[in-house]
Amino acid sequence: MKRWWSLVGKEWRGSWTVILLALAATIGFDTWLAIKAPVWSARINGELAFGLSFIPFVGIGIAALVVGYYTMRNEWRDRTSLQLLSYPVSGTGILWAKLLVAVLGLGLITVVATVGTWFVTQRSSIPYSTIMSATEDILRLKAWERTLDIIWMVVCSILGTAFIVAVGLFSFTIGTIVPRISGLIAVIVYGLTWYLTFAFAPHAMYAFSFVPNPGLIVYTGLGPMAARKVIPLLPFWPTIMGTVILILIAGKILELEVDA
Amino acid sequence: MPAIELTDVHKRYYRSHALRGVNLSVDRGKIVGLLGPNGSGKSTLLRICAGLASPTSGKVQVHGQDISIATKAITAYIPDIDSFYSWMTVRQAIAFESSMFDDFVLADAMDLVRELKLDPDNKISSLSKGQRGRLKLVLAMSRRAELVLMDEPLSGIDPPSRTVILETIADRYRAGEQTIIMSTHEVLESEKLFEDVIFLSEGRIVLTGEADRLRAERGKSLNEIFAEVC
Amino acid sequence: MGISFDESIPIYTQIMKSVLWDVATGALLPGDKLLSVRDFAKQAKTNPNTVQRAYAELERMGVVETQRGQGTFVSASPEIAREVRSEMTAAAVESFVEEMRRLLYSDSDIISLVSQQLVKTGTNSSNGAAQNGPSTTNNHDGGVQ
Repeated sequence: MKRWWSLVGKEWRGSWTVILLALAATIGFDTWLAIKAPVWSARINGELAFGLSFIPFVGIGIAALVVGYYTMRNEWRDRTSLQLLSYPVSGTGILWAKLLVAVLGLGLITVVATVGTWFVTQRSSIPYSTIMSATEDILRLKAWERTLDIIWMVVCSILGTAFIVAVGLFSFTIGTIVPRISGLIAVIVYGLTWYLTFAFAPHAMYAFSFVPNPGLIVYTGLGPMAARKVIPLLPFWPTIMGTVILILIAGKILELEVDA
Repeated sequence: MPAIELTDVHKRYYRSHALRGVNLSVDRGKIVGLLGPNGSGKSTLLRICAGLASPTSGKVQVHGQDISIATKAITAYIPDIDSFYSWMTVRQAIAFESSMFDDFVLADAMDLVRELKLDPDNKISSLSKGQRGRLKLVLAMSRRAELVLMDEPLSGIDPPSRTVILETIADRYRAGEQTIIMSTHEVLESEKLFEDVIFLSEGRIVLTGEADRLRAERGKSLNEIFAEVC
Repeated sequence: MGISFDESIPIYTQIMKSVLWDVATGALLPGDKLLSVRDFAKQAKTNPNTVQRAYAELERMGVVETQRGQGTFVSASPEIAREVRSEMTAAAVESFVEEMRRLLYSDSDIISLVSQQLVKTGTNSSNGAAQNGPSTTNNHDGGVQ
């Protein structure tokens, strides 16, 4: 375990520069939006700056799609793979460490981007009716229901992100089995994994509908007719399963087959 | 139980056949020279023993065990190419290595850094080739590793650093307990270090033996024998 | 300080010979300490196991003695040293004569060639006793220099 935390530390310090750059870009962009927001609210419309403040989230999404692949590829490009794989740690240990740091990094940037969006909203003049229609349903929830919903949504986005990163880690690892065309193989595996994910997602969710799932509490309908409903988060277990399976397979391959 | 044992090991790449049926048993507690020209399969052989490549066929054992996390824990591997996290300082690289291996002795590492004239606060990316070669040696020789695999530790390194590296190996080698397998194609400088030698050519072992016995039998230096058989 | 070897001759016999030579010429006296195995190995960039083997062989011959934790010391008395010296001398002369005869020189030719060579290189000051004579001028096997 000591070794594993040390690996995590190495990953974190190794990616810190990139994370810092992303944070700086996000803060810079949101600050610019916050400065422009009052002007745009007066001249164009109140929601423009708010809408644009979601651009960093698009960036985070794209980063999540590729970070797994790149964090592995860098080890092979810099030949540090020779060092990394000579350590007495399991293949899965190496991958989990990379996964954790990728998710932490993306999470940190997400938190900053969220604060940025909130800040931009504060500086914008968004029409009262727009805010009402967006928050009407949320306001019906009791405080603890809202908290629970937020917790589950955060947990699910973390799990989702982890799965997305795992697909990248998995694809690169499979690619290294065929050194000459590893990039091509990785891209094919990547596409195939996503194809299979979407093809079998409904089946997996159906299968896991028979076990307890966390749920989102929502109110549907209007006024006194509003009904409280709990929507089960069916992707919850399949996402965990998928991530674990991808990491286990890739970890074994890393130990047995890969040429560093 | 031998330090390493290879049974009919083959390694094929897409177009090349790096090892063509290697059978080898290396005694423990010796410094063994793995001698062969470039491309003879030395690196591949060492990487397979370090668990960094898998043989296409055949069996590889370290201390009687298949290659695993357990064998990696007792093996120190020095790659022929630079394999550093270049954003680390010398000190960080030592700390990281020390966190990975239970047999790492930090005090020895600090001694060696001083002896080999490295600045602990230098970034690895700013080190010269010779300094990086010396750092590799610090990392490997600060461990009480039972098996040390050195891949061309002198290759491409300035002459003063070569001398220092050879001296350090002779000095820090833990006689009797440690097995060092050192590959090189420059036999002249390092041949006095070897107790046993393995000559490798085109993926096959062409000659093995005790260094002094080969000298006595043939009246030639290992370097001259190398020129003959490889 | 460097220790040089002829790599085409077994290293461990060269280590032995260099010590024997120093004992025979009196460069090493009884009670003198040899370099530790590790220091010898480091200076010569050679294998400590090989040095150990040479020291062990010398110990078997009764030339040196290892005292636990203190090091290896010359134990040979002057008589043994003289014996070693005469053995080495005999061996050197024997191989020289053998080689000259193989080259088909007559005995008188050999003697005159040796005399000529002695005149050419001048008179050796340590001629005879060879107490502190440099052991390196004609030490074709190399040795501690």
